[in-house]
Amino acid sequence: MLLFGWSPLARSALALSMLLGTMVKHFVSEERMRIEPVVQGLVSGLLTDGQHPVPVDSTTAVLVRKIDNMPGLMRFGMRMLLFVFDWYGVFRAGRRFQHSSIEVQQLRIGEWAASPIGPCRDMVEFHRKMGVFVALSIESGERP
Amino acid sequence: MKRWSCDTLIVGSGPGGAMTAALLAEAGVDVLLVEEGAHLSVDSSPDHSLAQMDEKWRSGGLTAALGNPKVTYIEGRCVGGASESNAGLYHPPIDDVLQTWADAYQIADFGPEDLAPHLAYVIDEIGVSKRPDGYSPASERLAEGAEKMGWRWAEIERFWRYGGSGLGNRRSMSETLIPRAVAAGARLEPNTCIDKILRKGRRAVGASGRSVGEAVHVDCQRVIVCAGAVQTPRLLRNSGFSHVGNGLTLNPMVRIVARFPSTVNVPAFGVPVVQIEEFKPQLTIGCSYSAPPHLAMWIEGDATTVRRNLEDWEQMAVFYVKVCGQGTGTVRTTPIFGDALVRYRTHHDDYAMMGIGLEYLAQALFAAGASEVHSPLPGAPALTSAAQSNALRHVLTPRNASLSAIHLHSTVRMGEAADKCGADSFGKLRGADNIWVNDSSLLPTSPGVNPQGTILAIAHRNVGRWLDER
Repeated sequence: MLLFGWSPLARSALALSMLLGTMVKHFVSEERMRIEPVVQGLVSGLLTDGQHPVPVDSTTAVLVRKIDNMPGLMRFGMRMLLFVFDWYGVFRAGRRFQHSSIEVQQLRIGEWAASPIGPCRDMVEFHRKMGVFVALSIESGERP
Repeated sequence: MKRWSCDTLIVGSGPGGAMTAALLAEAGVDVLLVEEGAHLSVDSSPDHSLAQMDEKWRSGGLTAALGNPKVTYIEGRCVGGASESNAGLYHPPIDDVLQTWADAYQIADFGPEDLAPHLAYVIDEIGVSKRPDGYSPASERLAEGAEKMGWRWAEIERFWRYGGSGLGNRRSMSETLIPRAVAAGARLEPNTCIDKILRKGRRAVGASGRSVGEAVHVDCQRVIVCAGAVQTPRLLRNSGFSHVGNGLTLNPMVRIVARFPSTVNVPAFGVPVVQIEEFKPQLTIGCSYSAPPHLAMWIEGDATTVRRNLEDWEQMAVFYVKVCGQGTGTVRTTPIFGDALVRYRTHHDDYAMMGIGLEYLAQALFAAGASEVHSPLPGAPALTSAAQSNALRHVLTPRNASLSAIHLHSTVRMGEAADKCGADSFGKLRGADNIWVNDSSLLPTSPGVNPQGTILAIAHRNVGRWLDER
């Protein structure tokens, strides 16, 4: 009943924040949001050079495990970024990142790698550095 | 719920906790030593491997101090703490730094001469040594470069015992002080996380947490927190001591890759042990372990660039510049998640110092015959001559710097200067009658050198005082 005294703008802001909160809770939770397809796209886009075979699946599995083992706030932040990154593809090209071709995926990765927003660059940098470390460790015989 | 009781609860089994447990147990104290991580053998996983990261480092090695830029760091999380997986470099503390600590923070009975017998004890009991068959070619290049530049350099000893062949044995806590503590009667409980110290006013009466998935309650007469510069203030703040967790210091580090015309990268030598001493404590220049997976992380560029460079990885190695950071940070508890929230503000002088360090490093590498020194910036061309070295001086900015740190300190400083120090000169926590801290948190600032020896020596000093006062 209290809401009737609020301005339309305040009511809209409240509704929007509740909607966003629900979306975040729904989509970013580990049970709901499978990050594997997005991480896999990042691994493919960042590590594939067209000449060397890359252990994409096992590298992805290790990276997902590492994200799940991050401290809570970092894990939440990384999942949020992956979620936004996936849907950013719809905004730019009409398809989510995980459903795009590797060429389009590489374009999206390039855009975020050069983003003025630090966390966006950090997200790509994390997958590049940790991805290459994991992939080469696996190539050199380590069990994923 | 599990219920344990003891005279003295020690939280954390890294160098500070292991030294404390061994000395107290040998003095007849009823000690319970708890560790959040698992109890693993020192060789349960190969050094520098993915498995080791997962087994022995908190969050698989993915922890960061938030800020602009963030600084990634690592924390040990197993019985023995970071000593189970770090390089184990032993560097005695610098006399001027110790004296500065004593003066600025009013630490009683503390100075180079006071600490000397404790350092001697550490060296005798744990053992440090140099590799008997020389050091890696990458280290040789760094030494050669320093020599040609007229700079002092040194081969750093390690907490290590070299045997007849191979890489020798790490003298970690699980190999040295923890078995001593257990042999003297200390009880060791791995996989046990203490969340809170239970108090009655100024007195700790116990602690609560979880052990192997089950709630645990510990009754004790005193608590000694040795969980490291991040987890120690987190536990104390959770227990109502809000004056700790400020003043975090660390040593920001930046890495670059250099190429030589001949082989310099031989992973079988293990951690390179040469450092340029000329600019310590403000600046440390050294070489990192550079097996291909590690090397690849620091080669900037796309997949094609990385792969092309790795074709002759034996000719490349990773080198680092580490500064004695002037910035400070805080440790808090993250709402909802409950983890430690670490924040750090890198000081603008540190960028300048890292830039100078990169320039010096490039000069030394070219003097030693490097054919290329890569820029730490993605897309920037590699340097090909010493004359280009000054291009690195102003290259780092908050936006582009990729910084990491290994050593964190100063979140519960020791000293009598109550406005700056969370604990007294011997680690007794202010605001409590029977809680002590005995780990890297006590170091008033970054020591500017690898701190494990200093931490062990200070822990030995403090326990000696507690036993004398008993």
